[in-house]
Amino acid sequence: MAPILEMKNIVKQFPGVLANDNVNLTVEKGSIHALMGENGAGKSTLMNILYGLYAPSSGQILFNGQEIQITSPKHAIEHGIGMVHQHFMLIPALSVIENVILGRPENKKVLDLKTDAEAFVALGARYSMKIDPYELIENLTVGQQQRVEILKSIYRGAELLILDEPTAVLTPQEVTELFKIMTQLKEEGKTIIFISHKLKEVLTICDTITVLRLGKSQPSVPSAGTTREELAEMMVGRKVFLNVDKGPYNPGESVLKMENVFTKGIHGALNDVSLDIRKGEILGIAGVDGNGQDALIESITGLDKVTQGHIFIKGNDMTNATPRQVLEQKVSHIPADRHKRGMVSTMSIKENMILISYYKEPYQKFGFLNWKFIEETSEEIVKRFKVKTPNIQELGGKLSGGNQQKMVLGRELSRDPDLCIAAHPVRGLDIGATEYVHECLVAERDKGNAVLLVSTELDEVLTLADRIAVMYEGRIMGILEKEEFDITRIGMMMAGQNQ
Amino acid sequence: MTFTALAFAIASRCGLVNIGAEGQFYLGGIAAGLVAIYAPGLGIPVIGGAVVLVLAIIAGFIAGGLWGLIAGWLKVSFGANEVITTVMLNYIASFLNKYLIGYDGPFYDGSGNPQSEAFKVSFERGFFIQNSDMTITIVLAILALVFYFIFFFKMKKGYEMRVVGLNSTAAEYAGIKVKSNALLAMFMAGGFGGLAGVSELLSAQSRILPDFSSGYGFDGVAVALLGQLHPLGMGLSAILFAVLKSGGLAMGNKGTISPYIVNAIQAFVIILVVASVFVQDEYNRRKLIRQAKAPKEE
Repeated sequence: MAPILEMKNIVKQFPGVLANDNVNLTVEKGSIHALMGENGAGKSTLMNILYGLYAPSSGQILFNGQEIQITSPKHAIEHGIGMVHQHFMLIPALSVIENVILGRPENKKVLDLKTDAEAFVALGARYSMKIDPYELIENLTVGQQQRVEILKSIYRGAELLILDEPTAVLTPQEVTELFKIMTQLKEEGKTIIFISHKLKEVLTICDTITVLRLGKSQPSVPSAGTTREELAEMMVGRKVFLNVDKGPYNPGESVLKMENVFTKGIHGALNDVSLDIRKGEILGIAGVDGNGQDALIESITGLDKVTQGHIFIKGNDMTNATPRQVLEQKVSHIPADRHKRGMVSTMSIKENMILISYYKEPYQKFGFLNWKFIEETSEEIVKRFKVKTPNIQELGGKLSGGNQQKMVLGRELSRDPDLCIAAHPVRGLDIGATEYVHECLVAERDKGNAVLLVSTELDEVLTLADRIAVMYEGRIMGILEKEEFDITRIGMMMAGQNQ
Repeated sequence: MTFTALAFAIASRCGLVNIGAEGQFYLGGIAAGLVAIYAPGLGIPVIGGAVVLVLAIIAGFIAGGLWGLIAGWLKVSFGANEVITTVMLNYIASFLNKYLIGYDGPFYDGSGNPQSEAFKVSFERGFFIQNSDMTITIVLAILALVFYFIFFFKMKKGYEMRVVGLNSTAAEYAGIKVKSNALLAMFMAGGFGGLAGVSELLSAQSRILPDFSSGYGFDGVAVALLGQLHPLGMGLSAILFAVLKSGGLAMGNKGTISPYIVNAIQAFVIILVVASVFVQDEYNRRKLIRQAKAPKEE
């Protein structure tokens, strides 16, 4: 079959960054083509060029064999290129159909919503999607919104559909749904570019894979016959160990116990949460983002008020204790948002290293900070946790994301915690750094410490955790033992169903 | 001016914008002035006035500090924006001063002019350089700058305050009490604003007069920013602004040149300093581009 899209020698130079360096991408008509790469590899830049959001510094785009210049998204849509962004471009206060026809050139002065609504519903039916065209977007679930986005692109005549990390926000069931739709679209001769960093998904659904690394494209490979390890190696540029080696599972006594905890919370409230973490185990919290995970962590760490129930750490009642009292119970916390909570970007590495312990001796004496000791300890942590930096005077904000996370991780783990709370510890990290963070967490567990791991990446939880608690709307839907780990069941629980 | 600059800088380090040095200046001045007028009469031994002067300094610091604390308290209790409250408190302080020494005020000296009685003690002139107007306050100012440096960069409490100023959510996470730090910062800031009032009144004036601050509080903001909150920078820029200010007055007295030319010069200085920040940014940006073009190892 002939290629529908050829991008040749695309170069995009940003101030200070060469985001795309002679990238070549050829997509066959009627195929699902994966575009993979680590953060900052240039995937988004390339797609934004294709969608007309950026102009390339140089290079050629051939669409259906003809060279085209795409100067705006409108232009891209006219050519039949549609894009579903990771963060949906829908207006919550408008209805489905209003969103669908928004900005369409063929709109008349007086909108004829009815005709479009009927046509849109019919289109939805073809993909066995039931859609109420007059429902407001804000009343739809994330999965439904995504389907509206996809249908919107098809409805407006997209032949080539770009899906940017579409599975990041979905439950496993919704992912299956999405894949069904993608397969059907493919059968109808549409072409899909699927951007993802999840190896398994890509190998399941895609025909061909192109990997970007450091702005350069690697030669495309067919997904049939390619293994996850090979793909990971292409992305990182070296061998990667995807499976984490864990010691035997020997849970000890309870470290953290929550009994019927309720919060009012700013970030989604907890509703009757009880759980318990023992020494030497990793308890994974699975769930779609925004289902009370933040409230869970903030209630344990004293950042959020508990309105009812009790929290015990090592047998001590720590309900509504201050953050410092909790930290003094040898609790480490790797926060979800490291820029907001975990570090001070405009302070140096050594100043960041003492964020939790600065008030203790020997970090300070008689109110004066002991810089000599602080510098020695910081040097040591930087070395031990492989934080790549010219020196410890460097500002925290100048480090790359992975190294910032290693800095936070190093600070937290070097405090020798009994309980380590890690929230999305690898969010935004590349495979290499991810591997390292996971190793560190497992090492904590093997040392006999308790780890609470919150993640929206189900794969991460499944690999690392000894037990999994699934959260939905502030409740714990259930806690599964290792032998009960089952994607379908967890998926149902993530969507609020429990048989 | 060093003191008012510190009043701004200390609050800034804790993430607060203290525009209230002017008001804190008045309060500190009034408190110190009253001590200088009435304390000698209360039987406090006058050992060359030194004890009274020390008392005056302490009183000025506390009065200014409490005035700053009002804004801090409004901030942490009600979330009132400290920019607005400190500016409002400036007016209140200025009018409070006018009332206290006005015709109906408790400290009116009955002379027919709105003013207090004369100070019984004041800082001795001719300190260090004979026959000059220099007083011991220059030493106080230098000590204050040294304190500022040690406090913020060598001490645990100062570190805490800087964390609050740079990232209050991270401070919370680390178990640092954001509110009490904000209160302490405003008290210290106000205290230094008060010291500014003390040194002006007891060095350059002989009694409390209405409007005894000729905008020192606001000059402090410019001095602090020009010095980029750095102790040495603030010391130098305070000298620059002080020279310009008194030079301007002298020129005005000679009558040939408008003293307002000094304001224009100050404005130029500020514009050039701001511009230099842009130049620096541009330089950094180009350096980054050069680094990116050079072969990179990851």
